[in-house]
Amino acid sequence: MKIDVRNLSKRFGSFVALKNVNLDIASGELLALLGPSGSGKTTLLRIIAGLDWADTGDVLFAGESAARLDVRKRHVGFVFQHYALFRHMTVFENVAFGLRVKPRRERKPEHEIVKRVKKLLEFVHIEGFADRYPDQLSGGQRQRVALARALAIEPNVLLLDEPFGALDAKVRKSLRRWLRDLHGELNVTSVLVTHDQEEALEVADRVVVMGNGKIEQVGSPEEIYNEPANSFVFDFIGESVKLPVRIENGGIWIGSRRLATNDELPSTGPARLFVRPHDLTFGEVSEAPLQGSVRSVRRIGALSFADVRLDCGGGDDFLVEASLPPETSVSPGDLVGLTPRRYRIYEDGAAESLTSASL
Amino acid sequence: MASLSNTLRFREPSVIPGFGLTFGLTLTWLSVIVLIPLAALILYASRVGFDQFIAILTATRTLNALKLSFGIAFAAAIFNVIFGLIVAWALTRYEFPGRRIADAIVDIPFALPTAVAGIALATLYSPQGWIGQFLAPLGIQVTFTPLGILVALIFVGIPFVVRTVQPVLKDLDPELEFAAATLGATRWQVIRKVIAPTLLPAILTGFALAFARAVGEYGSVIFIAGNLPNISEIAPLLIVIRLEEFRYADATAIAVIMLFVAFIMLLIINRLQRWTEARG
Repeated sequence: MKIDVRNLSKRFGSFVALKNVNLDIASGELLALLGPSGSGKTTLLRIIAGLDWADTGDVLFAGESAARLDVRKRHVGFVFQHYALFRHMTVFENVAFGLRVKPRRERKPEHEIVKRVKKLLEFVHIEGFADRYPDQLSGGQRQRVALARALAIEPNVLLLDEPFGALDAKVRKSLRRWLRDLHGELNVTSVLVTHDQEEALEVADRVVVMGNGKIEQVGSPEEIYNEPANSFVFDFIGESVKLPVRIENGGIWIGSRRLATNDELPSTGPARLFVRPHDLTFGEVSEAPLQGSVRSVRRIGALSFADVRLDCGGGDDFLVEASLPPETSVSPGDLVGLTPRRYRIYEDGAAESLTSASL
Repeated sequence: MASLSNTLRFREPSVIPGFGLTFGLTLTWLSVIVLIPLAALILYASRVGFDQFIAILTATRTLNALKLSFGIAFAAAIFNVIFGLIVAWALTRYEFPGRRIADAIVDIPFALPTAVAGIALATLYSPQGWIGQFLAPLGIQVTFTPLGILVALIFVGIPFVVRTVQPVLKDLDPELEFAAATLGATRWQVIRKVIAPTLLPAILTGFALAFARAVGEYGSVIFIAGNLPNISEIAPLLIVIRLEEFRYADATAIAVIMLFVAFIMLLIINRLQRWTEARG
């Protein structure tokens, strides 16, 4: 089902959780809401579910306002971070819960409920645990039960609130892939809330990056990573190095060195250069726009990394981890030059990129 | 050393020290305070002789007193479970002015001398009292009737239910209720299928404590009950009366049978509780 979020705002006391948020969720897509804690992503999810209420704005389910729709009537499947399974019920009864609480005239006969629950348990690969209680399962198994329980009501939309947050890294990774495959099979509109960018970028069709109650960028995982819309997204997604620069005389200056640019820059003043560590290449000390001394060298499998202490002028030091090309060898203490191949420049205080380059 | 694993041991090895000390103290305490007095009671009763024992128990006055004591204690415990649940719910679920004070008031029946409570209740519920004056026109007589005993036993039992249910209710994860609601459960279904089963062991404990307390209650009841033989005379009072008449055999026989019935009932509640917990 298509879900439209219109001008949502929400405050908790003096804290602004959501500021005029607009978002269109396409039918059948898997959307990730990604952001640091306090960015409003969970609040947005709970408002969509009907577990929380917006101060202003509306949520449309297939074009119809859901503002007055009770959580029971929304038919949302909600998966909680800490599973929220009913401890006094077996796995089977947990999954059957949504089928059993239906009003009598909508309720299916017992043998159909049994059939459906069995099918769901098979679907999430826990068919052997039907008679166990949640306390007798591992975290990964519990979350599968929670998912089967949410799917049992044939939800219009599946909402997942940090579903893998309480699991260890290995289980998290396998469940992530499994969720991706499962979504491919079911094609139910799904919204996943996570603070883990790797999870969002790997699983989702589209990623919504949120910060301070606002949507910072919406795009495919590639777009988010390669074309960050602003400094917040660049900083939040992936590794980044921030260096202070000045824009003077139509050029970008790092200390006393000039960074090669294609376009003439009109603005003058302090700015910041954002670059990914793997976009820094080693070069001649005399020519490269950045220079520094090697602090340490690490070899991890086939790759080598060097921690370089950059001198950007003004007495500030920056420690940067740069990947070494295979043929180069440096040792601690060496002076090296670094050239940013791809970078973005943001004026101080401004979110929009002033210029960017791929050399 | 080789025989270590084969011999039957009194306790499993544990890294937590102090078993000898705590077990010894437990046994001593239990013996001095509970077991020896109870054993003495049974020993004394055994001297009575079986026929006389049966004769004492089947006397109309004894039977009526026992029925009254256990029946009203049971009714009061049931009432306290319902009312105590509501109080615990209000105190944990809502934030309102005076909540802390209300929370403290719940414990007052624990601290108040029961005689004071009995006199206060008798005054309030007498036909001229603040509450009794409204009940009298309706034909409801509380003081000097079994109804008065019920009021007194409700008073002394209420904190037991509130204090056992409250912590469990506080720990109840609100996400469970959210999850049930998203799955389409009505509020009533959430209470019946999710909240009640979680609270059941605590409710049973509260019931058992309130019931046990009510069976043994003496001080508050005698001031409000009127103590008419066969109508509003509780078993503990009958024991005291027999003692004052120097009929020690009668007193011990009634005490032994009270002990026995109470023990059986608490054992059943305990079993029920185990059963509800085992499902979780």
